[in-house]
Amino acid sequence: MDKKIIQNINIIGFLSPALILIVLFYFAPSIMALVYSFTDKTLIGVKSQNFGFVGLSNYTKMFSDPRYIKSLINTAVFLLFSAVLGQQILGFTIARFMEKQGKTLQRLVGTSVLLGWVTPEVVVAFVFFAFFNTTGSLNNLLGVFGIKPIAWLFDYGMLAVILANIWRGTAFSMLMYQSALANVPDDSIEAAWLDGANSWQLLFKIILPIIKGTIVTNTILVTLQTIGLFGLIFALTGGGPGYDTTTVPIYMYQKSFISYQLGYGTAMAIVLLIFGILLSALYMKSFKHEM
Amino acid sequence: MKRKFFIPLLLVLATTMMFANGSSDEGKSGKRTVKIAYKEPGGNEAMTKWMTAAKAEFEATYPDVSVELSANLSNEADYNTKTALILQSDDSLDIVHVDSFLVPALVGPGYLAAIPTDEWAEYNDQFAGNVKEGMKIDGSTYAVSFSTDTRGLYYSIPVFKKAGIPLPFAPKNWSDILTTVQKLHDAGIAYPIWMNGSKAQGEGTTMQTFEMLISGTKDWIIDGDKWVAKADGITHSLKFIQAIYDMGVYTNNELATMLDAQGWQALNKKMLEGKEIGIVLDGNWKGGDFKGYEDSIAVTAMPQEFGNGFTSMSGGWTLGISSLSKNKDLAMDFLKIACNKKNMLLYVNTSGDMTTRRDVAADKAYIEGGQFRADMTPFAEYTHFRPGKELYPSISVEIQAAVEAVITGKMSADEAAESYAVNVKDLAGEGNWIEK
Repeated sequence: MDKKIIQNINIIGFLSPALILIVLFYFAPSIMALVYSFTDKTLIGVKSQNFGFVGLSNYTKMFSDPRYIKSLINTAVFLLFSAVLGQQILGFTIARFMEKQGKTLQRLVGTSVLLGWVTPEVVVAFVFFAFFNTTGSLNNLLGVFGIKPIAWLFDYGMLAVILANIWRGTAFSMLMYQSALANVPDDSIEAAWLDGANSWQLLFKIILPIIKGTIVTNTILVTLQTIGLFGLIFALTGGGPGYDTTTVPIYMYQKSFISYQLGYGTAMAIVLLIFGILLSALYMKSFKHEM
Repeated sequence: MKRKFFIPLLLVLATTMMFANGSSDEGKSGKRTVKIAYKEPGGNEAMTKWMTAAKAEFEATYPDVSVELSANLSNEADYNTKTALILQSDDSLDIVHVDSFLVPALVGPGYLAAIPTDEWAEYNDQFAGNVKEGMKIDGSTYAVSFSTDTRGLYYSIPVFKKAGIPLPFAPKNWSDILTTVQKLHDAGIAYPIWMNGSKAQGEGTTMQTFEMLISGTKDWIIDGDKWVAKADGITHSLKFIQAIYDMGVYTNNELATMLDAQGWQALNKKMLEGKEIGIVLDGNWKGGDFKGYEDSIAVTAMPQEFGNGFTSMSGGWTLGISSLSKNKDLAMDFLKIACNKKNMLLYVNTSGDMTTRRDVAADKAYIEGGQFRADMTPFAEYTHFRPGKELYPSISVEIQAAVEAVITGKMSADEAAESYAVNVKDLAGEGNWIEK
């Protein structure tokens, strides 16, 4: 047999377990979800078996559904403040602060930030529930100063989930910026100092333009990590009160598994998936550009 | 060359086998298993105590069969979702614990197996007629209803005394309740009335709160086969809730506690303390939690809106056999043992639930088993049942959303009723809803 054919068979052979896994656990469910999104399938009831095709109606319905629109806005707010701004600014600030610190402080800060990253989402939710709860540690602390307890999760639900996600995800941005800052050439900084640049000018005119690629990559990565976040919000607020912290994944869950409208829920999943794919493409493009 | 093929082939085979192991393990021990999944949310662990007793009796009768109990601690909505999912895919499960309102939606697509009750003389002789009829679809029985319930107004005697409200509390209409709530609020009671009001409390919000109200109006959520999207009764029920919110009886901290899915834990503690809660709108099973406090807690019937009598809601829990079960005969025998007189008596006296068996109802231990249950049994006279329709669980979610929006002040009663109408029309589809 031709050597090249054998080589190809070998390649396919070695790749096949991974391919089977991808097909079974990614493509098959995605295709099923895509099919369901054009149907009126429910989780229970006769339509869980005998469902019919309803064309694009799940998709058109979505954008006239005030709760879905609210969940979109909530997702955008959550994404912007917890990931795009919160995690990145804090991650960058910590990375920059750690640059000039001694090894011990670096390890101490690094470990405590990483703690949020390695803690499972649901555990983070419990930690923050214990913190923000009406009888939680934050209210106990405020009580020392004579401040009456505040229903944080009720009055400031979105703020609570944003802070929890910042705590959870900052480590990732910190690590990204640590490596980016380490690669900023010392002579560029020295030259800027010699030219009389102040700290802000140094930051905005020299450092940020140099690490622009990392900023783009990191923005896309934290966006992808946050856009589908479910466990943290679900365990902390359940999407409430009302629909105040209902993001798209939470609403998707409510529609599919609480209201049993599986067809409608999967349509939302598909829109989210498309959004994720577009962002991934953007990430690949920017990564390629950087290379 | 052969070796070059061998390794990839081995990998492919290993992967394929990983997904193909299926039920190859089955029967290795030589002992058959009957698996039962049930919800155990309460503090008294009534289900676990009952199931454990039934398991012991069953295993003594069938030494070659073991019973595997799988308790689920999640909240009601999550449990119902899980039940729906496992019934579609998990063939290791034989018996499921199902809320009676879900039964029609699970029978429709064939997830529950028909139960051969003709061969079960005790079922025909001892189980109450309306209970049996409720679980019959197209002439076949699909679930055994082991408990039923009624709902009413519990109230705290020391709290009422503190607020100077005459006892016994016997409201004749909604206005009497609202006046009492105001008095309790004026007396500084944190929770003048405690009722479920959030999506997180699931069916508890629909049934204990909204349906206890609307069933006391001239309207109902369904009319014949058509869902009622808009009616005065819907708006009035939401306005009752809004009136309480407008009184400012709850701080946001209190709302957060009361509307939490685990709020019942705080309720039980506070109610027994006899300080912070005035009235509790809830079901007779609370009697199980309030046992021993008959001197400080009393219960009264829920009046209709304008005092034309009283109202109550009844539902209950059932046991069904999964249509995927490979041990339907054994599952049936387990049902018979679990639902015999002795085991049913144990369950109802632990949980505080009402029995569906005539012989248990007549038993001295049952009669003396709970003052609250005895007090609430007469409520069955004017009780209502939920629509046995597939769409009901989805409509119920819309009810919960409307109640939550009003009780938290996010929408007025009129706005919530309008939003409810839009969503019910969408769910029911053209021709399946009406406006009144």
